[in-house]
Amino acid sequence: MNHGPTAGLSLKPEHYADALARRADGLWFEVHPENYMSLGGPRLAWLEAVRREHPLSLHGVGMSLAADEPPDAGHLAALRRLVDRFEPFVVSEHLAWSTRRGAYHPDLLPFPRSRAALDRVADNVSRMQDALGRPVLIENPALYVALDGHDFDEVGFLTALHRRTGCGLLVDVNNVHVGAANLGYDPAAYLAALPAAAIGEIHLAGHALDAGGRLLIDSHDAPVAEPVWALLDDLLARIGPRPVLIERDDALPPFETLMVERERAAAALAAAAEAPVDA
Amino acid sequence: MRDLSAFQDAFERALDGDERGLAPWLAGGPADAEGLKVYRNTVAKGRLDALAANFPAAAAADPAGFAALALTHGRERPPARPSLMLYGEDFPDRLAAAGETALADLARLDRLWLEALFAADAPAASGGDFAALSPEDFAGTVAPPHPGVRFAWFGGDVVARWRRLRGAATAISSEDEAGGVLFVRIDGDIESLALDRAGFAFLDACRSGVPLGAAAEAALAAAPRADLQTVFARLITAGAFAALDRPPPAKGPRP
Repeated sequence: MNHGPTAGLSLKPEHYADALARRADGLWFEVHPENYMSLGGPRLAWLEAVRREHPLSLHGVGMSLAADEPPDAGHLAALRRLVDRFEPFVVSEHLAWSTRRGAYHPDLLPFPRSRAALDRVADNVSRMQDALGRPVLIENPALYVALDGHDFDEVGFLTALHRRTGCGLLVDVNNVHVGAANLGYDPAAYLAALPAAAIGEIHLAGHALDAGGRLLIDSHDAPVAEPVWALLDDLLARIGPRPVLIERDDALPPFETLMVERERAAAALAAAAEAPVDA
Repeated sequence: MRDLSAFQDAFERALDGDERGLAPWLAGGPADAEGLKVYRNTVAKGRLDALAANFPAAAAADPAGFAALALTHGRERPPARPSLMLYGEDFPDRLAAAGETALADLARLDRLWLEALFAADAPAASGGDFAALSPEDFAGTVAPPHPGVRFAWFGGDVVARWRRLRGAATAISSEDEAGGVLFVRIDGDIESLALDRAGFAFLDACRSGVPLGAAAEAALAAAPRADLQTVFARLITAGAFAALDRPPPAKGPRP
């Protein structure tokens, strides 16, 4: 019997009542805090009710940590209020930018991973952690364009960020698979190079083939693909169990359909818990 | 200088369609254009999806017309912050300016529903709160609508059409009730209740800050044959009023 969070689901308003009623060992939920930054209202009340029954994670998409400017003070304060109210077991964000000079581009945008960018992102992560009074996890985004001007590969950049700021890592295995296919690197080697002790959470999601037929898109509208499950098994065999999340944002199926995927992740975690961790 | 700011300036221009400035950072080849298109499409879709989520009846009424105007709106009035919960405040006006008056009315109803969803919490006034008032105190009491309440009078069949598009079933007992709508929070959701002319005039007066006596007069002026007691009781039951801000009890005997 495991009493900590094992496998979880992203939570949408359509599934509030199901999430509130469902019981499963280690079940937890994750939401985007940007969807709860209201003065009040029933969604906050629903989230509070779900939080009384299950562990919760706040997974931000809008802090824009890789923008060449400090995080927005109002956004940080709004996140702090949610953290204080809901006491999430994890707070996470992305290695990306989206808001800049008062305009929000709803995506996770890439940047050249230069030394100067590392200075900026490390400063922004530290500002975020200071404002929240706790460490955060930083996630690898899906990548679609091969940029010039990198001083680090993504693993090297994330590792340096972890060493400089004390932040943990949220490893999105689907994004690794998608980025590897799009930019031509080896996903297994990527995952094998990540510092195991820094990994605090793992994301899984479905992807789709772009209309052009060449690029994989991190679409969050389909079940997790088999190659991604295989990468998960290898990662867990190396690092041991960590909270795993099934993300689904579009083409939302019934709650119990998501629970079937969630059970598969829970089984993978149980297997990893019993097996000796690879050296 | 190839610094982070210069890259982000160039990337923002590329999102708007001008990729020339990005050349120093692109590894080269036709794959670059395809990859940039993914980001451009995701950003445009993100704004469109947010507007469709915030204006679902308008989006359902005319999906193609809505999408065309929503894409334009997203480009010209991009979100200012990463929380998109209330994005599109001025989108109904764009629909109206484009001559889509029916869509604009549906969008205005969607917007009121959304505002009711995300407004501040507060205790509601109960029937007992009003019953405890003496008749003279009652007439002089100001009873503002609850912060989570929105209401409007549209007349015609706009509200009925909106209800059908949103799958909201509301009991309408008279034709008069079909013209107005009252959005209230009930059981963790936003309900759209019927609101007749007298009820609308009463609430509208309360919103403007006049006391209950004057609000009742306004309701009777709008609907001379209205049964005000029933109208008022229904508003209280719906939780339409914020807890009363009563005048402090007088100290000592009144002059």
